[in-house]
This record gives sequence, structure tokens and C-alpha cells, in this order.
Amino acid sequence: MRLSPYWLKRRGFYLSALPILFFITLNAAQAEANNNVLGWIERAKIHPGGIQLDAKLDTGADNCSLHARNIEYFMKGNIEHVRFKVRNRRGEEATIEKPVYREASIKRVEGEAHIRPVIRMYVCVGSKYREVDVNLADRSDFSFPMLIGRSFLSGNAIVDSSRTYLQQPTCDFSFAE
Amino acid sequence: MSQLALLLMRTLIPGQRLNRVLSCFFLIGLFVAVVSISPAHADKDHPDKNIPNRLIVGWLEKVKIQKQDVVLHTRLDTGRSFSSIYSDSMKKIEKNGEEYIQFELNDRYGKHSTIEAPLVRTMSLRNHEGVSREAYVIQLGLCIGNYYMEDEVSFSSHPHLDQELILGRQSFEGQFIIDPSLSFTREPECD
Repeated sequence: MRLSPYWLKRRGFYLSALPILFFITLNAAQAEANNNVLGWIERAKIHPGGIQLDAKLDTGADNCSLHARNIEYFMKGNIEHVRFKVRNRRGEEATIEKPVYREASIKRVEGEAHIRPVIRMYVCVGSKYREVDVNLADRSDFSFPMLIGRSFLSGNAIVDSSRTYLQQPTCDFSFAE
Repeated sequence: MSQLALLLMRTLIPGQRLNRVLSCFFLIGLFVAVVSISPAHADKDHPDKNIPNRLIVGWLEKVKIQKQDVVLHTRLDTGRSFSSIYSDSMKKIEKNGEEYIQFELNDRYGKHSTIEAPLVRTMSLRNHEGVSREAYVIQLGLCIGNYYMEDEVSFSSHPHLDQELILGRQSFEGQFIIDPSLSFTREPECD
């Protein structure tokens, strides 16, 4: 009685599996390269704060913008800092303190300009993260607490405007503690 | 078939004692491998084919208006839902009992066009102070690369910062994927 087919014991059989295995890995790598496609709405994670926010990915915007409430300026050492609160749809809230990196005048279509603080923070969408300038805007009349512009997207992702929520933010910010 | 496989495998893996069944396996493996890699090879030089039926375009592109000479620098803006265009001279005209909007466009290449486009509807837009105004929405035939599409475009009252035309999600969703690191990837050439 034969326990297994004879060809299972032959080296040639396993050798023949090699090219298949090789090309399966190659195709997996190819699929990995395609995971830079994001929808026009994604979940973004910010650091510091560690909170997840719904973000609109906007190829028409230069920079990133965050809906911040209770913005307070204060001095720490000799450096001007800003303290603000961010809340997501689930009701989670984070208080963030950061030095003011610069100030930006946000121009609405009607022409009146607002001066808003800009901070540098880490933003993560999908598996990609980048430290970008984020201006703390009053986005209460917009549906999304965060807007991600080309300063984050360029080179990181391509945007499919027919889809939303394609990836979960998976970045580990432990290096930045 | 098995003879051929035997011969092939003997040349590829020397020093093996082989029989026909084994070499057939090898041949099948090789076949599967070639089939699985061939689309990947075809993709390499064509970013358009990475995702089937989707074109990868930059966030700025040149767009030609159908049957006109003007080529407009256009922003493909995933942050907006609708498209808009700016022109400081437009008037409503009537042709064969239907309403058209006649407007003038100058592009940055020195070309000039007088365009008549069918009026689709009139929108009432409200700005920040609560003042509402009427905005015409027209149907325009647009050409990006060699892709032709019909799009509803509204007139904006302010000139756009650097682009004459802005396309929103509604006009290109399902057709284009926007790569924000690219601009002007192709010249408009439609029949």
C-alpha cells in the first residue's frame, strides 16, 4: 500500500513549485504597491493627541487644516504655544499643546482674511504618515473636522473620488514620544 | 508534451533524475508563473493600467473645451463636489426656443473663444453673509488627455486663483484617480 503518491517524495515536485511561489510573492508585492489608493474621505490619526478623525482628502488644497476649539495662546519658556481641543464624531476629545510654528491668513472666497495659528504635527492616513503644517481653523460649518491637502498627499497617496474609507490608520507614533 | 517538458526541465535544472510526470508539473508551474506575471509586466510603463478603467491624472491638467481652441488650466479638486468656471462676460440667449449661455474665454496661450453652451438650470447660491445670487449651470464637453466627457459646470462670480476651470468630484468620480504629486500629465487630444 502506498501512503502517498510517489511524486510527493520527489525533489522535482518541490522544485516545480518554486517558480509558482516566486511569482505569487511578486504579485503580492505588486498589490502592496497599489495600496496607496485612498478614498476622498478617510480616517486620519493625529499625533500628538492620538485621536482618529474623519478627514476630507482635498487635492485642491495646499495644506492641512484641523477644526480646533478653545484655542488659547500661552508662553512656555520664550516660545509662544497654543492649546486647543479636538473632538471626533465618537465624542472622544483630545487636548493638544504645540508651539506656534507660524501664522497663516485664511482667505475665504468673499475675501476677508482670518489669521490662524499653524502648528506642525504628525498625520497618519492608511499606513502613511508625515509631519505637516496644520492650520487650526474654525471648521464648524464644514462636515469634516479635518482637511488633508497636497502637503500630505503628494507622493504619499493617490485619491479615488468615487470611494471612501478605504484604509484604517495603522501608524505607530511611539518613536515621536 | 511530456517529452518537451522533460527536455526543458533537464536544461533548466541539470543533475536531476527526472521523469515525465514531474517535468509536467514543472511546466505547469512555469506556465502559471508566466500567466501571473504578464499583466504586471504590461503595467510597468503605463500608470493608467494599474487600476482597471481608471486613469491616473495629476491635480492640474490641461482641458480643452469641445469644438473650441481654448485650452484651460484646470484643477481637479476632490474637495469640491461640483465644477465651476469663471468668465466676466456672459449673457443668456435663446436659440431654437432653448436657452443658451454665451460667454467669452481667453486662455493663457493667447487663444480666444466665444462659447455657446446649453443652460441646464439656474442655481441659487448663498454666500457667507447670506446674500444669495443666481448662478447659471451649463453643459460643457470637456477633453482631458484623450478622454472626453460631458460635465455640468457652474459660473463662479470670482476668478479662481490660478486656474480657469475647476473640476469637482462629481465630474470625474469613477473615471480618474488623482495623483497630487503630478501635474499636466497629458495634452488634450479628442476627436
